[in-house]
Amino acid sequence: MSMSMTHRSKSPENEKQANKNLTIALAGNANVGKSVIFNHLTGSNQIVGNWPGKTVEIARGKLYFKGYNIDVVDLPGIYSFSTYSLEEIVSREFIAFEKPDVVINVVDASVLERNLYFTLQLMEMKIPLVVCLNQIDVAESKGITIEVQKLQDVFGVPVVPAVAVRGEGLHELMEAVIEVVQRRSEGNATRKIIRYMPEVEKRIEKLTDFIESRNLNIGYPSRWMAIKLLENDSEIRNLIASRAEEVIHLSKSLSEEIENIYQEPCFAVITSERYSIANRIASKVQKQSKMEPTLSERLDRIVTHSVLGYVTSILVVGGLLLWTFIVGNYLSDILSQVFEFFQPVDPQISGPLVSILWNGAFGGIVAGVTLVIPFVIPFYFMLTIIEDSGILTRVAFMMDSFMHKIGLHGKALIPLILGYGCNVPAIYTTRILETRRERLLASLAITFAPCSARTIVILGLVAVFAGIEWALALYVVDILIIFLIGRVAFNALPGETTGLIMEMHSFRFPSLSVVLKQTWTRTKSIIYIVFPLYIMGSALVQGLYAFGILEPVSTFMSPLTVGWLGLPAIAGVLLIFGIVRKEYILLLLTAIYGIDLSSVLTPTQTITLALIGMLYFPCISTITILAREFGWKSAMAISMVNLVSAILIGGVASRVLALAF
Amino acid sequence: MSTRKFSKSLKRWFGVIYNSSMSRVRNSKISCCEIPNNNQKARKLRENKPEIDVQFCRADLTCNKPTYSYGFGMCNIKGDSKDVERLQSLIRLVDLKKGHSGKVVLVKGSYKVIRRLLDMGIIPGTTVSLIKIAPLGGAVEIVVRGSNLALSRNISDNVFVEPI
Repeated sequence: MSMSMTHRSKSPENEKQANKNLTIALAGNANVGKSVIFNHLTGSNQIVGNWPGKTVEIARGKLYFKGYNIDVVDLPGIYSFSTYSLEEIVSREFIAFEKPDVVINVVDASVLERNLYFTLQLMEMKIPLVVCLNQIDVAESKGITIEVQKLQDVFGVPVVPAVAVRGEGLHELMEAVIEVVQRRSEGNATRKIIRYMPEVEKRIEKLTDFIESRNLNIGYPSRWMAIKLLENDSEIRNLIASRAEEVIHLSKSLSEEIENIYQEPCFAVITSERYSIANRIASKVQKQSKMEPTLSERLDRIVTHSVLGYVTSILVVGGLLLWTFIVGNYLSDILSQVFEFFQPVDPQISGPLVSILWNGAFGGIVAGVTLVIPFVIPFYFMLTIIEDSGILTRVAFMMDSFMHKIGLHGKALIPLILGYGCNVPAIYTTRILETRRERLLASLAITFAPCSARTIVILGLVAVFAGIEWALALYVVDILIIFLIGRVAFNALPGETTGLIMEMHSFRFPSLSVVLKQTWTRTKSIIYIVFPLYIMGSALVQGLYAFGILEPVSTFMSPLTVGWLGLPAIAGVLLIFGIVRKEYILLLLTAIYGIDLSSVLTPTQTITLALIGMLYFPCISTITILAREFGWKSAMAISMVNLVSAILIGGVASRVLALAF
Repeated sequence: MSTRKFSKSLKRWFGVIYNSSMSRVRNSKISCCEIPNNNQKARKLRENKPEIDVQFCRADLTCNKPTYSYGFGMCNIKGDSKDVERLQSLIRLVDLKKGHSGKVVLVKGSYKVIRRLLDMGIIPGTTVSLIKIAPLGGAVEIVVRGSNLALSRNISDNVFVEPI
């Protein structure tokens, strides 16, 4: 944030160079701090968090530094440039075809060897490179010290140590980037070529020369393509096969030679070669001293303990909801008092226009301020802390075997928990899963996860008018439903279940400023985008009410709503509007009947209505993202599963609850 | 099966792979050797995971179907008694004691899983240590090359190590 501000002061010298445009890209392993650096550089507010896979799409931002207009690009975190995940293809195509002026390779200093494995692949891409040695504070706490100069000598590219969360070293990083740009325009690059063992290197060079002689004119560098061919990269193979079949023949015979020498598949030979180079470099530049177990490690023992681990997992989700209710209710009370003067007027007396404006438009604002904002703020505050602390990966680890029972693995729990915030980014996050089938199963489960909108309905209706214990019971029932539906869907959609391969990072204490900023970003989008919808929806329903159109709709749906589900007739309208935004179920009730709903709904009806609201249909935004990610057919199928299970479970629940009250 | 018989059968299998022409390997796509019968551990493995019989093999350049299973890491076994001993001392990753280390010898799995494991640094010859095992057949946490990795049981069951 600060960077773009502080360097805006233009000295005369800077004026001269003004308007030079640059593109830089941040690349590196998952969860090494790319998005943190991106936010610092551009002053943006990309969502960050302590779990691998947050950035599933390329993000762009701008920075003005030393007379350069710089486009900063945040690439998704990857471990390799292969073709088996979408992120990896996206990243390598970006680097090869958009040709950023400099790539900043962000490296986790505490896991140097594995990170250097990726650095080596970036070196093969033949791009101007700056290495940012991030999280040196974490490395130090693990007893690791790194000699920056030595590392710089090995690669022949600038290496800048940094602690991105505190903004340390980022100014130096940008200076190094500019230096690389200037030195390149003067035409003296110092970058070295990292060579493989002779038997492999000889064949790489032979293939490189052969590719070069063919003048293929593909965006990728020849040496990189040669290595990829030997690694059996299907995309590069197809790309070249269409232009020069003979290159493929040569690569086949060369990789056969390598396989005969090493008696292992060629891709494995190259991978282990690269790792042994990374290992050599890492052991040359870093020193490891013995350390006491860090606080993070001790904490880790508790949250992944065979008994306590499950307790923590439950506490995380339960605590999130309880906290949201307690703080939300407190805030809601205060705000309700402010708006106490608001009482809906009777449209029969005041006429339709007044009722639309007062009951509808203004009522929408009142309902939004008193019911949505108080719950959304504490919810996102806590969710951000959970995301940032790194506990999500622990919960994923503990719940892996459980998730296998519904055809998924532990990592799928991360989008599922995010689904408690909002289904839309959660479904987007399912991209961290490996196969389409897993993504579909996870997305189905996510549509049953009560997002913050549904939480507002549950807390605002059930917790207030029937008791908090019933609200929590609804969440437990919901988890059971997710499991049962997941199990059925898993059997209906057979296929290979992949397993969990996930990096577990150290715990981190989330910084208050980051948490506050991200809470604000998420709340802001609700206020700006969703508030107008509240006002319009509320006004619309008032208009329909005033002109007597609600009646026939309610009557039409009453066999289902009144007959089967035991709800008041107005529920039909609420549920139709609820498809736009789930909060409408509560908001419109408030707009029509005022803040005290106990005279309108019995406790049983509040619970049934909230249960139906939780299950019955994804909201429009969720349907849209489902259709975009999986196609309309799948989106509709998921919606139908929602609808059918809601009607079945709701009818049974209303009858069972009638016995309880 | 005696040790000598086993070494013979190893030779036979490897003979098939390496003495034949490459085209044969290409067509067969996957070739295997058996884990010895007389080995108690191996029997345990076999009981736990029946498909363990499909052992080592060599990748086919033209084949990257993600669905079929193959492993590698023992291709340099010639079938003499030393190798047999080595093979017999293999245990699954999960059978390591907590806090103990082992050297990866053999990795099995679909093409995708194998490539992912390789990229994360789990390569034959790498030292891994077991940190913890989640209860109820849950995931396994290991340290490899300084980073902590969580692996599902179905994956870690197919990583075989030599205890150190």
